[in-house]
Amino acid sequence: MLLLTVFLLAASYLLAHAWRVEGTAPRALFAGTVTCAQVVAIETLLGATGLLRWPILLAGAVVLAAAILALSLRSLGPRLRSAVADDGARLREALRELRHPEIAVLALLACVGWIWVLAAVHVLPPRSVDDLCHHLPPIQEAAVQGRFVILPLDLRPWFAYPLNADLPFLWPTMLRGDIRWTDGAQALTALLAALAIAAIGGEVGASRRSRLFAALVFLLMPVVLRQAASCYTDVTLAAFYGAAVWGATRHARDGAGAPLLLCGLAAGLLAGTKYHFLLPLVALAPLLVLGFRRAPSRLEGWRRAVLLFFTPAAALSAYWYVRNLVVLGNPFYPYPLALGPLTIFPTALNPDDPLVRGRSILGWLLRSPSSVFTFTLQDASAGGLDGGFGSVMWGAVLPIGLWQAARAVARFFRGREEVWRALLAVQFCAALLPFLISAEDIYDSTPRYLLGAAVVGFALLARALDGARTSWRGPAALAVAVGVATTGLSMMVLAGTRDLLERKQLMRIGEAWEARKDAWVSPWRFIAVGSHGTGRFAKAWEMFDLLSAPPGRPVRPLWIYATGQYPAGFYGSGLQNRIYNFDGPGCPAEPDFFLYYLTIKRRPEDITYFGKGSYKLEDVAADPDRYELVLITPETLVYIRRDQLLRDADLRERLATVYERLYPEEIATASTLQPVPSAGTIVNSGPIAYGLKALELRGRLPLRVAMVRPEDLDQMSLRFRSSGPVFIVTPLDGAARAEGVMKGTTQALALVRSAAGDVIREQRPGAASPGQAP
Amino acid sequence: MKVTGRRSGGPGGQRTPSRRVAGRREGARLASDRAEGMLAGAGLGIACGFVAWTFLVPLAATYYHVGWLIDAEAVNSATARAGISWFRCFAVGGASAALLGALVARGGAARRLLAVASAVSSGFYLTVLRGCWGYQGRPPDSSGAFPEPVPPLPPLPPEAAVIPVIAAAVAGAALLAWAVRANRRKGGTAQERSAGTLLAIHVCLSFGGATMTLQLPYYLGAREAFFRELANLLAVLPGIGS
Repeated sequence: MLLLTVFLLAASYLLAHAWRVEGTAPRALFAGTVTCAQVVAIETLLGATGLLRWPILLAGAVVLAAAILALSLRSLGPRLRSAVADDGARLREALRELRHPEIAVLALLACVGWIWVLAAVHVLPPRSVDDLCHHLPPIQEAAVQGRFVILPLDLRPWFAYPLNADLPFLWPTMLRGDIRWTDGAQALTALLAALAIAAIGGEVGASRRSRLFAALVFLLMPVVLRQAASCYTDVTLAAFYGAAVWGATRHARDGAGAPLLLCGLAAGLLAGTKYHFLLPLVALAPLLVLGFRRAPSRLEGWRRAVLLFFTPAAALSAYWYVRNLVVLGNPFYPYPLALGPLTIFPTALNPDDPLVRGRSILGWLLRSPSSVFTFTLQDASAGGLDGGFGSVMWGAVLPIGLWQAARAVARFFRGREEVWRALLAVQFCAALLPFLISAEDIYDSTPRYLLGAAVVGFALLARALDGARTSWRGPAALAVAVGVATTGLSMMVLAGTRDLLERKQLMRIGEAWEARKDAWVSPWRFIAVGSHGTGRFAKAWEMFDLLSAPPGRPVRPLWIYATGQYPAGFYGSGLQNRIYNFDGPGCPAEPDFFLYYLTIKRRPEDITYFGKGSYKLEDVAADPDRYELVLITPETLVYIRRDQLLRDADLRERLATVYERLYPEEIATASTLQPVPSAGTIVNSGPIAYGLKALELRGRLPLRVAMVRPEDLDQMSLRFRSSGPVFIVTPLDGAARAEGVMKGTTQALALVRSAAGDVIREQRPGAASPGQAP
Repeated sequence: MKVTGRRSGGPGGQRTPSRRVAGRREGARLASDRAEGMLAGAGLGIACGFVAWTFLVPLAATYYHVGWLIDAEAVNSATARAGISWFRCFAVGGASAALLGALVARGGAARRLLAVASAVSSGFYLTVLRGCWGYQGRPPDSSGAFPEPVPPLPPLPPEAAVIPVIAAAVAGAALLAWAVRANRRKGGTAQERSAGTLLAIHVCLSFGGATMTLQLPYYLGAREAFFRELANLLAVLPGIGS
């Protein structure tokens, strides 16, 4: 996977040389964007035609990259050696900038931050709320079905979104067949965004030192570091937007073809992702027109526009809009499109949805100007993936970006500014639009939309920094020192903050790495530090993962009936499982397993059902002869079909092994049961049930072990009593009629026969609350 | 052509400017001085306003995202209040000092002195360190739950005033040394051209400093977990690398 990616990058890099893209940062930006475009184009083509299989993807990428490489080498000819040598020299010059203390410190901080990010990508699974509920499920379903599908929109209308920025996640997932590097794509696109800062900074005449400073501070912003190890798409969008801005600017300056092509590709990538980025894209039009006017003739200008801009842009984005128009009747699904009172496409959202009814952030700021401090002084959502830009962004980039835009326009109208400079500075304001038009109600999850503006703003900051250094070296040095210090301090939030609000998370690697030395550990165990309650799925997802793909055993795909908002974890770490509700090819009449997520409030009425099948918890829980409970956590319940469990020895063996591996203490305790009653049912809702269940599955216990919800103990005891004696587990101290004893690690347990009229007050060792898993 | 001024100088000699022209030039120079003085004064005032703000804002009571603050409005309103008070200090300090600068900047020396004062005052922003004693929240209880903040919150300790002031004074002294040296070397010409740039530096430092003041406790509150995890990361790194 890595080799192929490097091959694609190398081919694109030589293409940049062949097309005489000036400057190392612009060349690298060109190479990165063209590589992304290749990946997205091939995946879109294969996904749309149902041919999305890893060998075809691999072959397609190799053929395309080889063609680009051959074309570039032919065009470069003898220039190749000097071109590579030139880049080497430029890189050495860039490294010499490390002699400046602020660059050296930032580079050191970047090493620490990015090692952390890469380690998190490698060790932890995708675990952020939007990763699991929104970005990954369409990608995973495409990977397992070999084609793009629109997942149930009743669960999430955003499943109809264009997927261009998500498709880079599909690349490692398809080529490796697992999720190990799935959340690593944004780490690469973050570097692309930093290159865009350096490239745009070069256009406005910033020094290499200031460009490096700006790019490094961007790479160290908390929101970038956090998102770089996630499957969010905002950093990727910022990179694409930066590439489009650089391409449009360079094209406006010299009318060259390569920047126009880059702008077209980046615009296509961007348009095929989030609808609201269409607005800043439109704002690039004057820069493009400026470039077209440099063509020898109007016809030539149009020809270039069609060939190098509109065709690549349409090729990369049109599929999603056409699909949505044909399948859903609205290319911008689920959003409405209206021209004044004329509604062209109605919304698919609930009329009460804040995204439809709510006011915009811009309106909020105009109505209540002091709310600007909610974003700036507060740095809304710092510590999470939705925000956390740090003081340099709010204190320097924002005011300087606004000032430069206003000043450039004023100077332009006085005839003292080149038009392209004025248009470039204005792009900063245009890039604020995706954030400003977002709904006020979700203000705390939208600051990340400012990342595009940050790319342009940091480039403008680099230029301003040069001006400050020239005339006010002392205060400028102090400002830079404060900026470096705040950047370093802002990295503290990486390991997690003291507030664990819903959308925040921890990024802790050491513990996960140590635990993963045991083969019987699923990556999903480590979403326990994920955001928004995703950690509550950890036990169930780990069980599904280890059941279907145990170490050293053949893979056995499971069909799981899923509930809740986060489908991504059900697929397993090797995408071996299927979600029954999504009704893919080969879907059986009944699922193998059923998971019910009761939410943090643990209320069955809060369960989110979606897609195919109607297996309500109350029906499944009320029929223990058909559905057997196999896992209880405070917020989740996992059932299996009992007929399948009785029939399938392999499944019984797998389930017993999982219990033995995950609950060794309970197994040890259950194994000491003496004497063993000859018949009957043990009813239990605590962790000891895992140990007893494993013994039953292995045939070492002649009793049926029925796991039940704590609130069902009485009812189920009554029910099982009709088919023989029923036993419950209590501490030995309080047991009057022990029919079996188990020696636990902290206390002895008794098996007590439950008689008619008993009100069961079960006590479980080591369980502080009912249903608490160990 | 109507001649209004007395000419001087013989044939071929240079004419001295008319009184009106000279007056205009003098007026333009004065206006330029005033503008420069105003910009430099504004910077100085903004810096002083920032120092005042760091001492006026009730840092310990400005709720930030520390603890389980479900009510985001508590944080929003606290930061909005802090922001409004920052803006008042910024505007009042900047405007009044700009006015004063315009009045006193009537010559090269006064202008240069103002510019140097403005440059030196950029060290004042190190009073941002008062943020270290900002709202800390309260630690979680034994069940891991974060309690609600309970007023009255404790007053800041004396070192919360002493340390930032010393840091600002040291930075100011260093900047003064730099300014004196730069003035000797360049004759002050560079500074005179770009009082606007210096003002921009002040604006950025003031707003960035205000942001930092409120965020410092948040960052510092996470330092224990950060360094613990960094040590863990460094310990497991060879294993991950292999």
